[in-house]
Amino acid sequence: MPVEQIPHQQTGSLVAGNRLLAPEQRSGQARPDRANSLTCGHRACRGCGEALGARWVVDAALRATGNRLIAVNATGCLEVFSTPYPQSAWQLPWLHSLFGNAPAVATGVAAALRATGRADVRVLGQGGDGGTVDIGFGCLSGMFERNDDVLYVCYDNEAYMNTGVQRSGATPAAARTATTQAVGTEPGNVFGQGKNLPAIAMAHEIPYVATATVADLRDLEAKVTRAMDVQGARYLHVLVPCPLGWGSEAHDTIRLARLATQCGLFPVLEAAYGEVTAATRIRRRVPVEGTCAGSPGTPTCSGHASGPTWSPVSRRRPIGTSPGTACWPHRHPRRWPDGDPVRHHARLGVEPDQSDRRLARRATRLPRPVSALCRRVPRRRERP
Amino acid sequence: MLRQIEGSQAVAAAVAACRPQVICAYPISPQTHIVEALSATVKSGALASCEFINVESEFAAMSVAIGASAAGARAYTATASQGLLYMAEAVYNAAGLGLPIVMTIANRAIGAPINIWNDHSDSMVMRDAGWVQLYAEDNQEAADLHVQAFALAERLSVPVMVCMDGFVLTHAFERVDVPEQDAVDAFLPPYRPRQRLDPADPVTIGAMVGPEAFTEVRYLAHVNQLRALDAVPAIAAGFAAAFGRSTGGLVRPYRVDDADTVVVALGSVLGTLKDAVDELRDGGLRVGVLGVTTYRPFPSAAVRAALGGARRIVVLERAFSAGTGGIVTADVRGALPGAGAGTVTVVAGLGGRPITRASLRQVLADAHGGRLEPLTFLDLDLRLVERELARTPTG
Repeated sequence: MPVEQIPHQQTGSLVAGNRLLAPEQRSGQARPDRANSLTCGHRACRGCGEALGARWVVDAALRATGNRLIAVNATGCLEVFSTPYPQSAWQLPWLHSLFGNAPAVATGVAAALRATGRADVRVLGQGGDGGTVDIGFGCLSGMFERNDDVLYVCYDNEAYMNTGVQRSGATPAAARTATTQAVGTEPGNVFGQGKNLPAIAMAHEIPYVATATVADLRDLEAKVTRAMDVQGARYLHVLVPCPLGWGSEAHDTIRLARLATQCGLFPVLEAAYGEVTAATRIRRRVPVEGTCAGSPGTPTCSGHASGPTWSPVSRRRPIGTSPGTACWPHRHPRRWPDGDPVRHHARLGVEPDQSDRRLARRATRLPRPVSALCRRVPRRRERP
Repeated sequence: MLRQIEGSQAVAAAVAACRPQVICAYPISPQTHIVEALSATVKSGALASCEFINVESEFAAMSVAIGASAAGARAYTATASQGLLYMAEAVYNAAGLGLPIVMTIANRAIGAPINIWNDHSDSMVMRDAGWVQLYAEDNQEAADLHVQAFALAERLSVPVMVCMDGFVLTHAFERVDVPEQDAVDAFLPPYRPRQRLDPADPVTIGAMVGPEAFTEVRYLAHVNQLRALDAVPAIAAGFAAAFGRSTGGLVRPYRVDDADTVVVALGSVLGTLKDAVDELRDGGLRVGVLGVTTYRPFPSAAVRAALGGARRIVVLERAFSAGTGGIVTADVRGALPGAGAGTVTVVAGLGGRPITRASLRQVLADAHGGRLEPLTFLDLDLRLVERELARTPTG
C-alpha cells in the first residue's frame, strides 16, 4: 500500500492508533492545527460517511496547499447539509452551481486563477456518485480530457441519497434502492449494469486516479496529499457508506467501508497515466454475503449459496469462478462460465430467468471474439 | 477603425478589446466565426492573460464561465439555438448567482424541424432567465453593444446577452467602426468583482435558500435588473461621448412622432422596416418604427412614451408562443394604457424566411387601414398549410 506501513500491530489495524505513533506520523486530523474545513453544526445524518470523507479530503487538500484552495461542489447531500442559508459549514472559499456541472465550474475557476495571476491557488471539485457518474459525467470527462488542473473527488454512497435513495450508475447489482426494489424475482438492481468510474478515469490517462474509503482515513489523507502534488486532472473515488440509504446502523459506517474493501467489492488502488501503480492488499478476504446485508452493496445472485468474490482491480471481472461460489453476471454472454447464463444456471440447478435467456440468444448471434487478436496500443501522455 | 468586415469578426474584435480573461465556447452555427476568431486572437498572444477553453458542450461552456466569473475573471461565451437551450439550466444559474458574464447569441431557430437559420426563438426562451437582453440592429451596434454589455454587466453584477441575428448579421460584411483598444480601455475599467472566491477571504457562494428567504432573493434580483433601465441609457450616453456614435440604449424610435401606425420590432429587421416606412411616408401614410434594443428588462416607460400617439401598433416578431401568439406583444400591451387595445402581432422571418420590403409595405398598409388580424403570419403559404390541414384528422 502506498501509505507508509506503520508498525502498530497492537491495534490489529492500519487505521487507528494515532497515540501509538510518533508525532510526525500522526494523521493531519490528529494535529491541533487541522483546518476543520467542514466545521461542526452542519446537518448531515448521524454516521454520514460523506461528511467524514469530505472533512478529511478538504482538510488534507488545504494542508497540502497551504490553505490556497477553492472548492466547487455539485448539488447533493454534501451541498445541502453544509450550506442551509444563511449558514455555511465551509471554512474555505466554496462555490455551488448545479448538479451536473461541478467539474466544468472547477475548470472555470482554475482558468480564472491562471488568468488573474493566482495559479498557486488550487481547485477541488466534489460531488456524490450521481453528480459524478451520471449527470456530471460529460463535464467530468471533458475536464479529464483537457487535463485541467482540478482534483475531482467523488463521494460514492452508491445511490441518489439526497433525493431518497434512488439507483445511480454506481449502484451495485442486486442493491435495493427506491427505484430498484426487491419486487418479484429480481433481488434489486439489475445485474450487468453500472459504471466503473475509476477505470473510466484511468482510460483518460490522466496523471492520477485513486480510490479510497472512509475506513482507512490515513490512506485517504495520503492520497489527497499526493494528488495535490500533481498538476493536471486528478480523480479520487471515495466509498462513503450512507446509513440512511443503506439501512445500516450509524456506528457501522466505518465497518461497512472496511468490509467492502476486504470482500473485494470496492478495490482500493492508485493509478498514474492509466496504469495501476498500487493496490491495497486484501489481508483477510471475507465473503460478500453476511457482511453488507441490507446495504446497496449486497450483490447476491439469486439462487446461489454465496455471493461472488471480486477482483480488487475491476468490479466486472470475477476471480474464483468455481460453481456455487461465484456468479458475476456479465453483460457479454461469452464471459459466462459454461458458455452462457442459461447453461451456467442450468448446471447449478437454478431456473434461468428472462435476462439469462435474452443473453443466451444474443450469444448465438455474436461473431467470434476478436479481442485476443487486437492488442490495444496505449496512447500515453507525456510524463512530467 | 473603419473596416469592411464580417459581423462575427467585428464582434470578436470588440470582445477582444474588452480584455476578457476566460473565453469558453462550444461550436454551433451561426456562432462559430466569433469564437474561431477569438480562439486565434488568444493563441496569437494578442490578448494577454486570457484563457480560451474548448469545452465539450454548451452546458459546460456556461458552467466554465460561471466558475471563472465567480473566481474573479471577466468571462465571455457565445452560442445559439439548441446550444442556448442545452445550457439553459446554467443560464438561469449564472443570473441567480449574479455573475456578470457576457454572452453573444447568434439568433437561430429551434428544432424540430432542425433549422440553422435566423429567428428569435432561442433568446426568447431565455427572456425570463434574469439576464439583460440587448438586440443589435446592425453589425456596428452588435460590436458596440458588447463593449457596453461588459460595462453594464459589471456595474450591476448581472449577466448580459447580446443578441444578433444569425447569418443576417453574423455572416454579413458591412462597414464597421471597430472599437479601438485605447478607447475601450478608457471606457471599460478593469473588472472589479463584488465578491470573488479568494482563500484570503473565504465566502460560500451558491448556498441553499428555503421558503423563508427565496422570495426576497428573487425580488432583489428583479430590483437589480430594473436598475438596468437607468444604467443602459447612461452607459449608451457615455459610449456615445467616448466613441462619437449613438448605439445601444433602451429603444430606438424612427419617425414615430406623428405616426398613426407604429411597428415595434427587434434586431436586424429594423433596417428593412425603416426603408418600408420611408416609402410609405412618401406615399402619405403616417407610419413609424420603434426598435426595442433592450428587451430585458422591458423598458415599459420608454415604449409607452414612444407609442403614446399611435392609434395602431404592430408588433413584428421573429418568434411566437404556440397556442398564444406574440411574445413581445404581451410586453408591449402591458406597457400601454388600456392593455394596448389595437395592438396586433405579425410573426415573420421564422427559420430564416426573408422579410421583404414588399411584404412589409403590404402589412403596414393593411395595418394602417385597420385590415390586419390580431395574429398574422407574414407570407404564409396557405396552399401548403390547407393541404396539410385537410390531410390531418381532427379531433
